Amino acid sequence: MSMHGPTKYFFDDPAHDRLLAMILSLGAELAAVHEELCAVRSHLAEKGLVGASELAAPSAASQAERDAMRERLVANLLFPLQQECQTLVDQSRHGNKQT
Amino acid sequence: MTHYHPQSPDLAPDDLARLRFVAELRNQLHNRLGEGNRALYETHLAQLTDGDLKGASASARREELRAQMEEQPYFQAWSSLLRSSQDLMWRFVDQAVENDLPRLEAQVSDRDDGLGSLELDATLETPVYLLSADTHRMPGSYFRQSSDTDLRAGALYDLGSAIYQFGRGNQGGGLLNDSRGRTTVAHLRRFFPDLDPARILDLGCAAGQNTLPLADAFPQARVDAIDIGAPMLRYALVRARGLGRAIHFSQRNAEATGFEDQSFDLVVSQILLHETSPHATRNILREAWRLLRPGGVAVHLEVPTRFDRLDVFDQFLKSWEQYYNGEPNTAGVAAADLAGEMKTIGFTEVRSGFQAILPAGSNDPAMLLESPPAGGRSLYLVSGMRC
Repeated sequence: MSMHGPTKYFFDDPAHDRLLAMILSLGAELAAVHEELCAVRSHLAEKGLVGASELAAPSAASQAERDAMRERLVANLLFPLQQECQTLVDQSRHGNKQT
Repeated sequence: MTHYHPQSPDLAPDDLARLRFVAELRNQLHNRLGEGNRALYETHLAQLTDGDLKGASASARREELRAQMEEQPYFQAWSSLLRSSQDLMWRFVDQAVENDLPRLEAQVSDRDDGLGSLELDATLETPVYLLSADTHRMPGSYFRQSSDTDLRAGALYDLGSAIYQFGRGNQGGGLLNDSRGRTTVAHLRRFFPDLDPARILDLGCAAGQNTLPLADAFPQARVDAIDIGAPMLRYALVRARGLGRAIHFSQRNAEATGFEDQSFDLVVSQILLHETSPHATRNILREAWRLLRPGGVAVHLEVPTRFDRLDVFDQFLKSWEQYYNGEPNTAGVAAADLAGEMKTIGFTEVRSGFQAILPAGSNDPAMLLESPPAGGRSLYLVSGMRC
């Protein structure tokens, strides 16, 4: 089902908004592949087999590893914006007011 | 497959991975990158909005700031990502629900064990404030349905709203997502310790996540819960049954419920008002008064944004959900004097303030604070008694 209601485009060219949305989709797919690979790898290492149960119910250690990996992946995706954020925060803290 | 309560959609490992990604993305946008907006305002825009617009109304200053911020590349990128992440969240939730819909729908008949009840009203009109856009951009909103057995909206909301909370850093309710209901109960225990209700009404119950803690706290009471959306209520009944609770759901408008005068001892709304309108909010506060017996209590629990505590920038940023994310009345509720309205209606013992969300299982007494507690999630509550 599609969403009903107005959609605000934040950039002058709506294509930029769409491009960001597509990048996010790619990021999510990448995260899914990463997690499954991680599950397969750790299970192979332990038993030399690939078991479906490991995909569905990872050990606490394996889940923590995946959580940390996901956090890094998202931080990497957002890195260009994080840099800009830091510049703005530094300017604000140092009173570098611009008009 | 993972499912977190008997009625929830089964989640395949890749569904879970996508939803965890979205929650982490939203978490970082809010908690790591959100401060860039404040810095942008302070560095580039504060002089304009605080100087040139001195004397203008708060809403005029917010609108001017909004126009200025929408020109800023940092805010454009941050907002576009945050809004896209909301749409991505619903898309992934929708895919998970769609895959599991036959099993979910089969549970309607499988769980027909007579626990609780459901009363639908096909003639009920959808309030105008829900018609202009799907609330928080959930496709289909609360009320659209494809058949007279459709429960998809409830399943979407149940899972999506839990993921949304994770993305705000609130893990307090887990995937049961009942932290609001537990917060309401803690408030009642602290401030109305003698209340022993025979009948309870939950206004705008959605999937019933926050209704269940009320039933647990007052097991002797009959609990009614109403919502505008038939597919929400179909799902809510089966969800409550799956979790072993008897709730009586009916499709009604919280502004004019149709229940008899003075027929309840406790009437609550939980994060309802910011999804209505300023006019509907006043109607709902008055309707709660009409429904209460003398000695009965009303509690309204809301998101913790209060404009009288915020400068113009935070007022603007906290209105983001209303401007861009399909929340119809976030700014309206944040600006409203809910306690004053309740006193005008005639409520006594009116209290209002911020209450921390306590972890599940906590027996700590609820504290009603003048300021949001530092370092934790909180909600804004207003309550009163009809004498």
